[in-house]
Amino acid sequence: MEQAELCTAPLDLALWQARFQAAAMGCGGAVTFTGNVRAENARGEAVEALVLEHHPRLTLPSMQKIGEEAARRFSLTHWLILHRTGRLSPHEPIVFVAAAAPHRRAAFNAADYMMDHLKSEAVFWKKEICNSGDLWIEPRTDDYSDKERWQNAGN
Amino acid sequence: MKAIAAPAPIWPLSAAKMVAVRFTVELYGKLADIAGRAVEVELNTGETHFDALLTHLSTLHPPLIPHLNDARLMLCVNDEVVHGGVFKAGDSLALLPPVSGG
Repeated sequence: MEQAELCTAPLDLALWQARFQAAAMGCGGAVTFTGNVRAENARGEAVEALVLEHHPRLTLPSMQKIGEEAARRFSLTHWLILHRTGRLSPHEPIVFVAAAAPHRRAAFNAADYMMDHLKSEAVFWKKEICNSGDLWIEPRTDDYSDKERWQNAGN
Repeated sequence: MKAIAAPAPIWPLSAAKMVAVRFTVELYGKLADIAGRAVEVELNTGETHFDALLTHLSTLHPPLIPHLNDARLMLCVNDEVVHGGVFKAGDSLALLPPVSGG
């Protein structure tokens, strides 16, 4: 399995986990990560919803590129990236990544690499809906530095 | 990209040079909240580059100016992010504010 999916409906994590595990059967290690919508924003306000906007022609290729680069860099046997778009409620899964490799370290690193790059390279725009108003979420300095640490790193 | 403090004056050109080209520019994220999903811009030949586009947009929609000054703003020409910032008649244009997934 080498797949990126842009999803408009809630992620069926059990289904995708089972599919990935079946595809990766026999691999030494498979790592999955799920990112959820936080119930509070950085200012401590309750978040009513998170709205994700995507580009109709650029977003999916940007996800595919991240997965393919992770596969090349970490010699993955399988990878999967699922990303929601549209309006999400707090606690809903927003992103799911999975990586399978002959050894665990490569799988852990690949999942980490994919998330770091999704944060600042995947073509999405996020808006928090709060009682006090709407706020577009920018990539944080940490998001850029998380990505940059891979530039000089080995595997 | 140079900073935009105020719209630059557009000096009259001779009739021979003045060929206006109309572009539709798609906007995303907070840019679309401010100015709508798409804006029409007329540029003269010789002005079909990133900086001139930003100058015209700042004239049409002054609330965009702080966001047009963001060095992370990306120009997309025919669905490709470009770094030279030059385009031509018939190209489809989009402006992408900083992206953030995950």
